[in-house]
Amino acid sequence: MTRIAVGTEKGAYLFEGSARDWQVSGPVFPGWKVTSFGEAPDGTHLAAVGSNWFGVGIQRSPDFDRWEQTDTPPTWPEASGRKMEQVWTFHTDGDRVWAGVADAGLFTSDDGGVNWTSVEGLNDHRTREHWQPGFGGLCAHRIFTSGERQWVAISAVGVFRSEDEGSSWDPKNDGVDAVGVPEDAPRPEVGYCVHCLAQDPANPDRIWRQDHSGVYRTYDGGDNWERIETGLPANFGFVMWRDDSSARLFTIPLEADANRVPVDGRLRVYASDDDGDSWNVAGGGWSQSPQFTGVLRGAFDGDDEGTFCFGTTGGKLWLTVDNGESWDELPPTVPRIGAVRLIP
Amino acid sequence: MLGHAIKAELDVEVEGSTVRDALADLFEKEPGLRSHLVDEQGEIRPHVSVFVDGVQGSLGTTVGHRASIRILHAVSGGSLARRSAGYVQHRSDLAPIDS
Repeated sequence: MTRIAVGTEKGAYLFEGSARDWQVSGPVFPGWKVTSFGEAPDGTHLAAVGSNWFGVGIQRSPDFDRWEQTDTPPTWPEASGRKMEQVWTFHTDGDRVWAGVADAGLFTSDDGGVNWTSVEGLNDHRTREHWQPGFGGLCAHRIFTSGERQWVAISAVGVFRSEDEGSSWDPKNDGVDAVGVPEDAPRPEVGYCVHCLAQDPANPDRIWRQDHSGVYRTYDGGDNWERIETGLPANFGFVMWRDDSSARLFTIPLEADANRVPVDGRLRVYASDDDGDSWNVAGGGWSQSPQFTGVLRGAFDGDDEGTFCFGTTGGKLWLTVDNGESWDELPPTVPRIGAVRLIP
Repeated sequence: MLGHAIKAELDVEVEGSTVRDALADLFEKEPGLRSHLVDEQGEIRPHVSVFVDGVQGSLGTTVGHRASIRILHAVSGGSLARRSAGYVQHRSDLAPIDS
């Protein structure tokens, strides 16, 4: 039995089943956008919800059935002039939960997501006045931690790295093209539209990056990036995932920023087994009819045991249980999917 | 829509001589509602409306004894018929209020 939590524009759904037999329950939080799932250090499930009218909320559940909203979600101070528009991601490391939000910033919680503290070293960064939003807003959407080192990806600002547990941060985008900046213009310090990151936990200096401007990797923690696009039909997209057990990388190319659907409607996951040197279509089972739909950065998840799933903006869920060799489109259709989480 | 943010009932009895005071008391009783109803600057969210005894008000509106305060979110788009239905289905009655 596989259980998948699916966050959509209109509530969360729980998929349970195997093969072609799937049951769907929901929506939980009807009418609310469910933007991210996470897990507190004690195993409590976390869900971030948002509403165009009512702002954001953090929900906690012991079982994905009974949910309770916390009283104090991440909030910007009045003097900041910022708006808390969305919680984009959770990241748990030890006893601490991190949240990446829009307007872009980081918050931490040491009580399982109940109370949150602003990471001021990043949130009040000296470059902040130059931060500009991408099409999806000004959002911090990926967080990695390794001891005293942290990385955060902010669209459309770039990757920042901290060496001192988040007290100070430096932009790390050398080698990445800045969107909209002429080649002969001086490189800006910020303005890099990172879409997604994946990291090798055994060697955190190895990071792969799906950017607005292409697909990149770094082997030195972000000091230098190089393009890795051989075999991809397009270098635009929002997904970058690494299966740590097999070292296999996954991405889902979309045609371009102006046309965010698969090239010719050929929705395919691409995989790399050589750290990004080359890419190929991952396995089979793909629809032979055109699928003009997108896949967003939070809508891919895996369990490091060969099961991976992703959701589309068309509300369909795709699943593989054999490390990407064969894929199935699950029968149910839900609203536009923005977040997916395999439940252990 | 706010049902999952409320620990007790949709109808809450609060005290206060203005909407601002009444909301402050409401947030004491239901702290999870604060971030949903007011923004970072302490203002009522742009698409949230407050009605005092059926008349749209603001934070400074005076609230009389046993006044009824209703907090609704705006609904836009769609046909008039659907808009009306959505208004009924999704309204958030938090009201009322003996002040």
